[in-house]
Amino acid sequence: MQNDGERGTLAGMETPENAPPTAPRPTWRDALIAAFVIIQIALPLSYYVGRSDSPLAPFDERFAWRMFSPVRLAKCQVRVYDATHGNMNQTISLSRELHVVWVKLLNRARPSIVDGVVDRFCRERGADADVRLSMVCTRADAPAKTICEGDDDRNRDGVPDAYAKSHYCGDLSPRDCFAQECGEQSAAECYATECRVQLFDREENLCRQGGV
Amino acid sequence: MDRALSAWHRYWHDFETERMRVVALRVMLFGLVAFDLWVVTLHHASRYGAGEFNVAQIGLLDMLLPIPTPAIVATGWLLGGFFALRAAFGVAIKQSIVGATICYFGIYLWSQVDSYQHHYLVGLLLTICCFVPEKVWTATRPDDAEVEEWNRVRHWGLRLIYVQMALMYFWTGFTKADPTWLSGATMDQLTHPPEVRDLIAGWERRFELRPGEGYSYAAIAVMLGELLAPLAFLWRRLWIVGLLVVPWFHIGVEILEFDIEWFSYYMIALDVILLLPDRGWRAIRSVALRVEPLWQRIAVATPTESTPRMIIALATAAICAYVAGRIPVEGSTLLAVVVGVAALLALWPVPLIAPKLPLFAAVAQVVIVATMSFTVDRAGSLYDMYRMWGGDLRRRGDIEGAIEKYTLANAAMPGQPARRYQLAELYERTGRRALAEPLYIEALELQHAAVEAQLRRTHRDPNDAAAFFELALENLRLADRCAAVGRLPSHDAEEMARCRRTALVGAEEAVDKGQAISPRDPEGRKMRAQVEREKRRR
Repeated sequence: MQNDGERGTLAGMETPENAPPTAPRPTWRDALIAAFVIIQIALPLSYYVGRSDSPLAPFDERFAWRMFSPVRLAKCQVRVYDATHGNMNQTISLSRELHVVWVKLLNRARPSIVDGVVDRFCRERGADADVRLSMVCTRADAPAKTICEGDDDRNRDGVPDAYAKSHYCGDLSPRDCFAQECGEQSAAECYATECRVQLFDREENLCRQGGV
Repeated sequence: MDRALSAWHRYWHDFETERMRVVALRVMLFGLVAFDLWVVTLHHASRYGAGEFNVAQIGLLDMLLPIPTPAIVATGWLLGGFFALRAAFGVAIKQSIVGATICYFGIYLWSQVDSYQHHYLVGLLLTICCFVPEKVWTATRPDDAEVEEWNRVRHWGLRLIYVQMALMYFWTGFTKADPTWLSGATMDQLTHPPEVRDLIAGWERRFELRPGEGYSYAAIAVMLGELLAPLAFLWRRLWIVGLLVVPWFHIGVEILEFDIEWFSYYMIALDVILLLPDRGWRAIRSVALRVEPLWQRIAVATPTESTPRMIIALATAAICAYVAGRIPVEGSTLLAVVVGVAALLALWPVPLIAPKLPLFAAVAQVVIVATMSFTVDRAGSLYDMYRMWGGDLRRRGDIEGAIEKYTLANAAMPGQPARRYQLAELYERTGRRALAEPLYIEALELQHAAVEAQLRRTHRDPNDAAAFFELALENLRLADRCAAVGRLPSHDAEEMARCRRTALVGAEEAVDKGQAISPRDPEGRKMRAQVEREKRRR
């Protein structure tokens, strides 16, 4: 047997020097890196894949890096009704109850805010609370539709005025462009169906549902 | 498997870069965080917990944490800025980075009331920075370190910063692969400055495009650029390409005047620092090395015995606590205590954690606290906080609360109109005319001075349309105050009516001049409508 110097390895056998390098064992650092990267891929991905069926889901863009998305430009008309005492037309003044920033966030239909606001109003009104919500928002694809610039027809030619100066009609005449976007619908019907989406009507008592 | 693990290890743990880049990253990122918190963010504190309502970023936190209060949030942000600027200065770096991260990201997670995406990005980057050890961040070379070896640093956290940036840009670009974005409609809606719209219209004419097509091409270019950015961050050879392309998105955002606070500045700084190739940093280092002798002199001047170092630590902590405690914010006692303790811990001569340059660390901390106090005062952050707090309370019917906050706002802005007029209105509404009258008169006098000051600004730059619109606004405010004083029995109603008419004429002339300079400015149209409305009011 031949001694190979100080390390005392045997000829013909693998030594630490000529053995294929073994990979360092993963540590907590590697686990942390992997977890961080997976979260940063999965969280934005969950916005597009496998999100809940709730009509509010597209409005929560917080962790999806959707800067300047059309959803960000969406605006909602929100009314909250207190029907606890049977009056279905009794609105809650949001600006008197909440800071203006929360009202703005509510007007952007962010689900957790809607949930939080409804939960608060229900809690404040006790066991018999009856709080209802009406929320109509801009559709995410509305900016690309001329009809969504407005359905006003001041010259009463049957074609909304916005088509006369639309950037998005290409070579089409205003009438053909309107027909392409709206088909047989009237301007008002087309505006309602193509540009606005009703996320809540005031038919349901949201306090009974245990959240939105 | 071994091969994959080796590749993983090499990718993360063998990532090496110039120390100068890491030092620049520390100085710029944490410097920006400090001033962002003090100048831009602090006045938002009044939103937190308003009306006893809050929704956290993560539902679990709603159950675990109480509703935030403006006092604790304002104190947290002041402290966050203190820690961040300390990190930028290189004082107790690790302790400071962790402190800044807790204050910044902790408050972000606590409430959705302030939820810009860049707050999330900065919070993530600060969190990654917490894992990078002090020896990687520091600029102070130990005597026994070999220069070339010292100038290269290696850590997985640095690689993770690049990966985080790449992921952020990737998802931002991915979002834009959408027919609505690519139609250009969103870009069209977001583009407000008339001169930029004219420029795009000019390009459309020049290249014979249909109206609106320019926005579509711009939208496609933005998407492609944002999808290129991740490659640049992930592949070192593309850094130079990224450096030449990526910052332009953020410069563009500033040109288009999107209101996204300091996001563009963060991104431009991060892009330039992270994407400048190593040889660029070596060139900068060769210049920076010239200050090393000065650094050595500071080091030599440092006492080494424990007793003088303890005295320095105690004196610094006392000065820092005193200055922090003088900032007129609810929670200033807590602020003073934490600042004092942090200053002491950063200087106390304990083996292993004691600073190598205690004299520098002591002076730096005093400068940082003084800078905090000065910045908050000059930026009017506390005035804005109390003004908005008072406004919110007034809207929600808490008149006594609003009076208290407006009083604090006025104290933060001596010699300025501030909220004196609004405070007087609240006193009048609650039947305290004796308190309202002197405030109305004071508000009128200060508003006259504000109009004069704004008039001087328009004389200094007669082509500044914004200054004329601001002058119109000041005149409209003056008209209001004249009318209010005219209602007081102690004043001549006819004289005050003249005062109001003169102010309205001044407002109208200012709008005329502003619109002559910038006819399509939306601010001009808004001011014109406001002047017309005021003129119709009796």
